[in-house]
Amino acid sequence: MTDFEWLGIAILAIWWLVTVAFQFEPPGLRTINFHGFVPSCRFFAPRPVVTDARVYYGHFAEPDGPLGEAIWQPIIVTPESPARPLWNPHQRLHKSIQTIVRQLGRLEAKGARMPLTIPYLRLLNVAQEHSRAACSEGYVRFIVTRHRGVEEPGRYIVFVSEAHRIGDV
Amino acid sequence: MSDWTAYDVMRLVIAFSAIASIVGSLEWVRLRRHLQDEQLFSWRIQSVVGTPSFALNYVFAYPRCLMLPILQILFSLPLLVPAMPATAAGVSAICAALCAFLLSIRGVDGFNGGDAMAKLVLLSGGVCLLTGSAALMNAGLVFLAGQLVIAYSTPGFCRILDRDWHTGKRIMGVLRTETFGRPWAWQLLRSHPWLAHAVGSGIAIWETFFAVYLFLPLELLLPLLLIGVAFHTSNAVVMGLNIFPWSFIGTYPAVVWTALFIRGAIW
Repeated sequence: MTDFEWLGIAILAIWWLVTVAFQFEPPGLRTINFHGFVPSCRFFAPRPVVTDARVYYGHFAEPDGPLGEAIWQPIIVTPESPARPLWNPHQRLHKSIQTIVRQLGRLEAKGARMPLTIPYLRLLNVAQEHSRAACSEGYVRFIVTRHRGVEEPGRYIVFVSEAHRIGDV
Repeated sequence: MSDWTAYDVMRLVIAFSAIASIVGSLEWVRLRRHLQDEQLFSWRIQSVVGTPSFALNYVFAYPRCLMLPILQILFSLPLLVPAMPATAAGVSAICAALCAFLLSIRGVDGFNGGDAMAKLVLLSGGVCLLTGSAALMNAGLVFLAGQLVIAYSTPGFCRILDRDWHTGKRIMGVLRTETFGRPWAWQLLRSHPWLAHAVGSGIAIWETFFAVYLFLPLELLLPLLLIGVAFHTSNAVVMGLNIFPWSFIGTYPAVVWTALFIRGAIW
C-alpha cells in the first residue's frame, strides 16, 4: 500500500474513534457540533421521548390579561398522512419543536433572561407571524405544553412567555 | 457477492444513502415555508448567533437557501446510475454531503439519525470513490460497518442496562406519543404485555451485540440482518422514521462485506 492509502486509513480510523468517544459525551467533545458527521447515537435510549411538546399562541387585549382569556392556537399544524412510512416531512417540525422546548427548559433552569434567548425568539417569531395575520393590535403570548399522547389527551403547561406587542420581535 | 468488488458494494451503499438524501431534501423543499424569516427556521433569528460572513448570509437568506436541498437532490440523483464514472460519483456524493452540512449550519434542526448516516456515507464513500484505491474502498466499507456498530451498540447498551426497556414501559411510553407513536400499536402492546416485554428486550439485545455479528458466518449473519430490516421497516410504519430504512439498511452490504473480509473470504 502507498503512503497516501495509509493516510486515508488513518483518517478513517481516527474518525471512527472520535465517533466512539463522542458517545460517552466527554467534556471536550460534548459541546462541539459536528453536524451529523460525528453522530450522537442515543436513538431513544436510555430514556426516550415519552411526551409530546406543543406550542400555542394566543391574543390578549392587555399585556396582563389572564391566560384563560385567549383562544389558543397551535403554531404548527401537521396533517396526518397514510404515507408517513415513506414521506414524513412534518415530523421534522415536531423534532425541531422538541429540541427548542428542551433548550428552553435548560435555559430557564439556568435563570437566563428568556426573551433574549434564541429558542424563545424562534417561537415568538412564529407566534408573531400568526398574530399579525389575525389582528393588527394587542398582545401575543405563547405557551409550551406537554402531554402523554393517547394515554392523556389533556395538556399541562410547562412554559408561558411574556406578553409582547403584536409586531414586535 | 463473490463477483462483487469493494467498488460495487460501495456504489450500492452510496446509492441507498442517495435515496435517503433525495427523500430528506424533498421533505425540506415541502417545508420551504418554514424556512422563511417569519417562521420556525428563520435565518434572521439564527444569524443573531455569531457573525456570519457575507457569503453565508447571502446563501442562507430565504429563498436562496432552498438551493441547498435542491442542489442536494441534483447531486444525489446521478448516484443512482451505476454507469456513472467513479470520479464523477465521488464528487457528486461529496457535494451532496456538503449541501446537507450547509443546511445544518444554517440552524435547521429537524434532522434525524437517518439523515446523519446518509451524510456520513456520502462524504466518506465519496472520498473513497475519488481516490480510486481498492485498499481505501475496503477501508471505507469497514469504516461504515464500524459506524453501524456504534449506531446500534450505543443505544443497545443504554437499553440493555435499563430495566424499564425489558418490562416494556419505555417502548409503551414512546408508542403512546402523537409524534413517534400510533394508537393502534400502543393498544396492541398494552393488551399484550408479553409482547411489550419481548419487543423491548429484543431490541436491546439485538442492538447491543451487533458488533458480534461481524464475526459470524453468512448463514447466521443474514437472518440477523433480516431482523434489522424488520426493525427499521416497523419503525418507519409505526414511528414514522422514514429515512432510517434507506440509510441504515442501505449500509448492510458494508456489514456483509466486512464480515467476509474478517473471515478472509475476500482481499
